[in-house]
Amino acid sequence: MLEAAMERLRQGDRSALQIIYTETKDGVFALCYSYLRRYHLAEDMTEDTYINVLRYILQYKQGSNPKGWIYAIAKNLCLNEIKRRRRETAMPEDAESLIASDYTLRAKDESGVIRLVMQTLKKHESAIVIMHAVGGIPLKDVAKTLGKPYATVRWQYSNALGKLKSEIEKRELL
Amino acid sequence: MKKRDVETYISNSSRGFAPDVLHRVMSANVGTAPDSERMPLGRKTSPMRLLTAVAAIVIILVCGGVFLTYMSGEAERVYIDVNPSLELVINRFGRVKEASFLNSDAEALMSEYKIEGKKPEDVIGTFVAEAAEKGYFDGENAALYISAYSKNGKTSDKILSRMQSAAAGAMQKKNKAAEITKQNCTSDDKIEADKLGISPGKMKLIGEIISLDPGYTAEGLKDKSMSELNAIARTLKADKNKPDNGNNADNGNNGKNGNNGNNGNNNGKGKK
Repeated sequence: MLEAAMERLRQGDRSALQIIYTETKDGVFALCYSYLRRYHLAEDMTEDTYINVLRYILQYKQGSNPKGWIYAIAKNLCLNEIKRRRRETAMPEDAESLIASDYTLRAKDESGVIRLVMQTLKKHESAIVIMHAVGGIPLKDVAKTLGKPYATVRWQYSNALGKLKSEIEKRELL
Repeated sequence: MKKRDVETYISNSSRGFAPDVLHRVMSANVGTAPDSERMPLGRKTSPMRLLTAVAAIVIILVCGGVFLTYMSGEAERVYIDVNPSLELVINRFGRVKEASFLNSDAEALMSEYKIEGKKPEDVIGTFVAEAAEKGYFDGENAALYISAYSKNGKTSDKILSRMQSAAAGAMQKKNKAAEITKQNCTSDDKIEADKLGISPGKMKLIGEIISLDPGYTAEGLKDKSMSELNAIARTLKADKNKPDNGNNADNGNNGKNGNNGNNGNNNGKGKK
């Protein structure tokens, strides 16, 4: 379905973007959030990702992995943004400062699960959990995006779930 | 609770976390770029950064080259003398950079072996083993001299000690016994030795003999084996230490033909 929608978009049918968007938005936003760790920035990069999909759809090669292509756009946009921001301002790294200063996150993360993930896990672990468990990106694609071996990512994900399990039990969330 | 339950919990609890930006995308007036226009997504490398990277690589390569050239340069020379005499040029990595056979015996003994790149201890081990096989350590005056020389005068006692141990080990394996002498050589020893085409270690021993008996000449002694020279030196020392033989420096042929394995006409004596 996604492949067909991509082809329709290539042919100039812009309504196909809705299907593409519905199929991929959770993954794209999760990926952007994993990299930028700022809700509004991730939101902007998600928007830019789909704008780039619209603009450069002719570069998409039919038959290749459409999700992979879209995630690659999102990832590169995020890396550019990180580079630009590093030049301009120092970005806080620790989870508590990030959460404290991110009002949109607190509003959108009603259940508090994203904050739980950020507070409990290391940066690289939370990125994997957010991309896979929140964004629904398969672990193989997560590994590809992060440039890590699949086995390493699978192992880190399993470790991360273990840590979250202990934390959930401690907080009696389940 | 299982890890899968945690995964499900996270997945369910984060539903609706992603914002809806579709309307913003759709309302953006974006045209489709022609196929030839590349997506400006790749992390561009600025010319300055590229230049810095190239400069860094060049510096690393140059420094690496200089370092390697320096390290592979000559640190010292080691000479191994029995009768076969071998010269080893050691680099700063502690490996043999070059080897020269100072006589045909050495060539016959070691020409089959690849010496360059090996540790000097390994080379002396092989040298001693081969020399033992060929009977160079069979006489009672069997001697092995290991001498070291360096241009800056800082010869390493460590390398001499290591080579001495390696030689002793190799000799023990072959059930041979010989006097192993290690010594540092000066640039004067090296100059004199080069003139005669012998090793500075041998030159030093010849110098010792001449100092005991000035009747000997370096020219006359240079072709003798180390065991022969050793025998002459021992005899001269013994003569000198005799209480009734005070002036024994030039006392005829006594002690010059005894253990040196030569007849009287070839005892190394001659005009200086």
